[in-house]
Amino acid sequence: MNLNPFWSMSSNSSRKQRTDSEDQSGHSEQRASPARLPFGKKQLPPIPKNAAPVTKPASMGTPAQSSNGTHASYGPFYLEYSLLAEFTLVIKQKLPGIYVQPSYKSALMWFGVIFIRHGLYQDGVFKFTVYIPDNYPDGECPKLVFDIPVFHPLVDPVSGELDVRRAFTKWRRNHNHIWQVLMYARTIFYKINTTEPLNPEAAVLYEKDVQLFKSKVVDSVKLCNSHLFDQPKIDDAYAISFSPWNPAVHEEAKERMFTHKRRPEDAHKGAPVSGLSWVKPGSTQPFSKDDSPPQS
Amino acid sequence: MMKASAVVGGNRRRSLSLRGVDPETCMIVFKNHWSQVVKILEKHEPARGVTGALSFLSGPAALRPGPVPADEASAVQNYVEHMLFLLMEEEVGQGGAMGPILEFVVVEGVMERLFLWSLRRQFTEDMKLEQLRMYQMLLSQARQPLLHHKPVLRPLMMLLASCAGPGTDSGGVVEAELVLLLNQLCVALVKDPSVLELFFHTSEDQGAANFLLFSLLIPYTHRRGSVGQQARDALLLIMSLSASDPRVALHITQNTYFCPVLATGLSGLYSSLPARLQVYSEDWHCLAPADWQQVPALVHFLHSLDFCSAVTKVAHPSIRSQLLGYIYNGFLVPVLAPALHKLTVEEVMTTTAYLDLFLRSISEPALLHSFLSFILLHTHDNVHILDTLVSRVNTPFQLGTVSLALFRTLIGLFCEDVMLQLVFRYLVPCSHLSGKQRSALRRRDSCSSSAASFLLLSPPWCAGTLLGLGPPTEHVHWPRGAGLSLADSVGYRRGADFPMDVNYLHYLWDARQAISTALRASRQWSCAYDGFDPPPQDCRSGSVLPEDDLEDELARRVNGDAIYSLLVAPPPSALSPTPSSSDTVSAGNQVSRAGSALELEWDDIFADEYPPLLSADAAGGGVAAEVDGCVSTPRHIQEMRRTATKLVRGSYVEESEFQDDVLVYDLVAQRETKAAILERIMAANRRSHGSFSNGQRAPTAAGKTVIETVNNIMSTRRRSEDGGREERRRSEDGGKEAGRKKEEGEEEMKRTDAPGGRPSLTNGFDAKNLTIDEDYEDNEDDEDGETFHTRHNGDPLVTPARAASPPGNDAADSDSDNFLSRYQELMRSLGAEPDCDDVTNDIGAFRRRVRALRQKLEEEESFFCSSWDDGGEEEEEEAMEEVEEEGEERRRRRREGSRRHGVPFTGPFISVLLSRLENLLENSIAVNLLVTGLLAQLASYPQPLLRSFLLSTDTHDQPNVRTLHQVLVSERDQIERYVAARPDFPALVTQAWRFLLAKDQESKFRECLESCGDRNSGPDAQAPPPLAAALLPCPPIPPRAKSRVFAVVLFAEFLKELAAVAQEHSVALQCTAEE
Repeated sequence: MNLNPFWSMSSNSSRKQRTDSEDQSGHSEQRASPARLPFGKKQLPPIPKNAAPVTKPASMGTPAQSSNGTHASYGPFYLEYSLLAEFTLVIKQKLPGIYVQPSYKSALMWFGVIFIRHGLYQDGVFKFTVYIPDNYPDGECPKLVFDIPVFHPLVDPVSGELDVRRAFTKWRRNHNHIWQVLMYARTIFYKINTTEPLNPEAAVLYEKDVQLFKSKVVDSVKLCNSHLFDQPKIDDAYAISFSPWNPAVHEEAKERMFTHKRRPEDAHKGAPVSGLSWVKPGSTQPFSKDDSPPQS
Repeated sequence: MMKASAVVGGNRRRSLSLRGVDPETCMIVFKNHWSQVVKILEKHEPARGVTGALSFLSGPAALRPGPVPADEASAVQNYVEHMLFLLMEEEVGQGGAMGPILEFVVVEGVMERLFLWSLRRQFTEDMKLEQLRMYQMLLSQARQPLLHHKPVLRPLMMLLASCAGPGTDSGGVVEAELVLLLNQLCVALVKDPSVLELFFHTSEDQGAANFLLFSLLIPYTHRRGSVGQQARDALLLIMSLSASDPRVALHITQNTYFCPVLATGLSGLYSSLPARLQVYSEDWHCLAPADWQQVPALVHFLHSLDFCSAVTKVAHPSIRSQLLGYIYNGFLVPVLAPALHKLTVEEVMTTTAYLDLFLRSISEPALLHSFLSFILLHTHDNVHILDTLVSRVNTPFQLGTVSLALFRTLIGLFCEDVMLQLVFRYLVPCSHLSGKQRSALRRRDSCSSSAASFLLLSPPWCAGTLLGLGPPTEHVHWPRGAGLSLADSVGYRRGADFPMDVNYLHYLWDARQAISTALRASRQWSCAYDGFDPPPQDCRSGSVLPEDDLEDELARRVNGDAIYSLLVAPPPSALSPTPSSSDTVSAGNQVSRAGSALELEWDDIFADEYPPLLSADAAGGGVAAEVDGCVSTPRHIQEMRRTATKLVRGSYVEESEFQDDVLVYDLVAQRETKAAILERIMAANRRSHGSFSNGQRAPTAAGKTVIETVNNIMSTRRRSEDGGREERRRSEDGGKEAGRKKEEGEEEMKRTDAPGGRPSLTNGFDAKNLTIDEDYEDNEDDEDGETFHTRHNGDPLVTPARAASPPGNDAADSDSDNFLSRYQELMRSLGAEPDCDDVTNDIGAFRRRVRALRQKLEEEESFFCSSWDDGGEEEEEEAMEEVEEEGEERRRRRREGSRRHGVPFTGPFISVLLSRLENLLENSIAVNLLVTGLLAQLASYPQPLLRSFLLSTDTHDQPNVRTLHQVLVSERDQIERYVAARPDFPALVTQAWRFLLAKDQESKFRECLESCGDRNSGPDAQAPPPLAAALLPCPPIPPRAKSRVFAVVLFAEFLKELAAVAQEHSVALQCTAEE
């Protein structure tokens, strides 16, 4: 068996199946209601025909190979957990100045905002959306689109899309992660690259007339910030929206954020489980701690 | 305490209120009453004096001038009632001073005189009761502190002392009142510790034992019922007092027998427990509340254990450590350890169940520490308790099931020390991982690849039947919104498609809970166990095993593993032309592994089952385990074996317990089934085995004639059978020794030198064979090796007959596993279909057929042997180098070899669990539930070493590490093979599946109801679910097939569970690392 029998199989024959599931998910989307579980509420969007995470060739007939059905039904779980895992990794990375939040409607769409704290783009607050391919992690790399096209050599001046692909020519499952894309989105504002630009004007200006480039950047930052309080571009319950400081609303939230940091470790629900250990750190011997009760 | 007032008449008066009554009036009334009383007292007091009060102890009889007239006695009693009432009602005086009545009582010594009056009146039980109740009432109702005053306290102490004396025990009424009073005093003491000073002082005064109060309570420590409970409560109060008052602690530890009494009391109570439990079902595996509540002795023991737990919790550290020391040295070591090594399986099983119950009952970490260090570190007959317990997991009797339950408890403690000894110390060296794998340990499987691999193993036919073509994404979208609600989960009854995947959400949910629990629980562990912390070299040097022993053990193991890796089964392609024979011939590795469940402690159970045919070899197997490892089996294991052997043979008459023939036959049948199982499993497992070990053999097979190749394959198979057995025997043997100490190593050496030990190594066969046997596999040599072991059976207790059997005979015979497989093969070649079930049903017929076939077998065998001489040159060459070397040298070499090869070994516990899992199809439902439950429990641990070992599905670089995934793969093949031969099987499985899911949901439903209804959860898991049974009757599965059908269902469910655990691991937020 090769390393990963399930995912590495090539992809053609399960498309039929996906078509079915598309219908299904279309229905369920309408019936969706807010959910209790923190992550359970995400709805996966309809899965298009050309993007199947479940890619085992379905050579029907022999029982050994007809297991396709079983696993197709778990496919969404895999996608969902891959995305959850990605999100968990993002949280763990604690990327400076970057905040993301998956959409309410689809786990494949993440809303984000990036704060630039110094450099040419200082004080920039750029909202963006990450689009994850629905055959993740086996497809292309995710797309990152700024709500307002920032003036930058690598950002498409019309669509606002960042050229992510240059950093991830091939998306490798288990090696590439979405936090890397986010990190990359941050890096471009500190270290400007002008090769093969999506915005040739910006690239040329940066090379030939930095002063003008800078002023254009300042304008762009101003523009972005002036739209900060706009309604989110995409209508979604979890879209990131800004509003002017309102003490009545925000003071309390701020308070909570700061107190939350110092919460006791076990704010967890459920019965408190305390593990036991009498192993002295570094000893790998049982009952090596000094404060173990003596055993005559 | 209201009882008291009933006698004294307080009830009547308490309704009266003295509020508003002038205190001076009260005082006048009191004095008046007292003068009346004094008149009567003096009439009967010949020599009134202060000393008289104490002299009653020396000669009470002399003080009694004669009976007191009844009317006078009752007059006194009436007055006293009034007086006490007045005293109780008196408020504290100005500025905390005594009220006038109390002052009068103190000055006049009223209480002492009243006590003496009781003595005058012959101090009957009634007198005592009267006095005790008087004080009870005073203590509970007085509005000012009384105990500070010596004239009150002193007679009280005298009363207590007189009640405690011998011979005062009549009907326990006095005792009850005494303990109640003591309890009250303790409460008062805790409320106002300043009284303590007086307690000590007063006791000294009267020459009684210091701190009389405490000493009086000790005898009631283990008393049953409410008296005992009250006494224990009182003692606990004093214990909590001791935590803050070192003098109390010092007194208790130095001047009282409290701790010894408590600990030896446990021993005493333990000895009154039933030595054997009447177990109502084969599935029974632990003492549930409903079980132990039926055994008063057990309830009583648990109360006392609970008390010990509480004392260790609240008492001063000096008391705690003294108590724990006594419990360890006075109960665990001298009582529990031997009990765990009793002679009969039933007794041992019972003790194991007790131990499990105790561990579950102890809430206090310090006490748990004692129990756990007893289990982990104590050695009985040079074997760690833990190792013995691990080895018993493999016993075929109920003992094995109960042992599994014990480990479920142990693992559920989230105790680093336990996990270190059971699992981590074998994983920390990372020898089971390649460098790449090691560096990837901390990475998480963010793409659900493990989950996918596990689910891919689900038997396709059942998935197909059950799932239909249901909408695949339905469950994630979960239209009703995140629902794990009952309405959804019981949807199948509406005729909707079968909710096979619905419960996958449950698994995810459970996994999430389990992982977060484990994460929180292991926060206080000393290290992360992620392949770097602790560093891999740590566990070798730091292991409990001395370096040498460990090395040795590892050497033995690698030797086994070397065999394993070389003993490759033929490539599947070579087998494909003869599928039928591939079913019958088997790879010994799997065989032996599957069989290991039967052999660890019970190797020689088969010994005399087939005396002329198989005994020698089987015996060789059993004894070889001892001699091979150069460690003799400890006596208790030998004895257990012996007992079990007798038991199985039906000749067990040593004690009257096993006269029941049915039981004996049952056991025999069990053994027989196991034999058949072995055969089946080895057949089923072989293919998977071949799949990961081929390629090494392929080159040698290439470029030969067809016949050569076939011959080669045949002999390879045989070799792998034998070698596999050998390998496993070694590894198990090593497992048993895993934790032994140095002395043992020395003993080992002695034994090696002993006459009848090593020397006869050279006896009877040539050194070349021997060497090969030692280091590499070869069928002939292997058998010779067994011969050697057989002759080395130095233990006269274990069937001396075996030692006498001629070597040649041994070589011709093979072990039973082997034999069975060949028997089947032969049957097939003769055109008959050997049915395993037939085999098990009729031992006699089986034996006859066996005998008839033996001749042919031997012929064939010689053919095998002669045809085997190619393909092994390299190994032989290497082996030749060692021909002349002595055993010691050989061992050293092996040790070096072990270093070279990295010695992958993941510990006896994991190995035993996987072995039991391999037996899935043959295990009882209870065993399967426990084994899969344990593995899932282990898989929920967040430590990367364990998590990745259990959940990684990558093909390993080191093929000789058996992983959970590998076992599951082979299990799947086994199931498929089994089903292929039984077309009706899938339908049965489907039915059973529906039934089980329904039952599961039903019980979930009931759980819900129960948790909603706020009643105390009395009903246990054993209580049958009548509701479920009514809704969905168990499908008519033939009883014989039942456990197998359920096993298949369980297998598929287990895959889901593992997949869920793997997925949840990938999204678990490990706050520990960050914060």
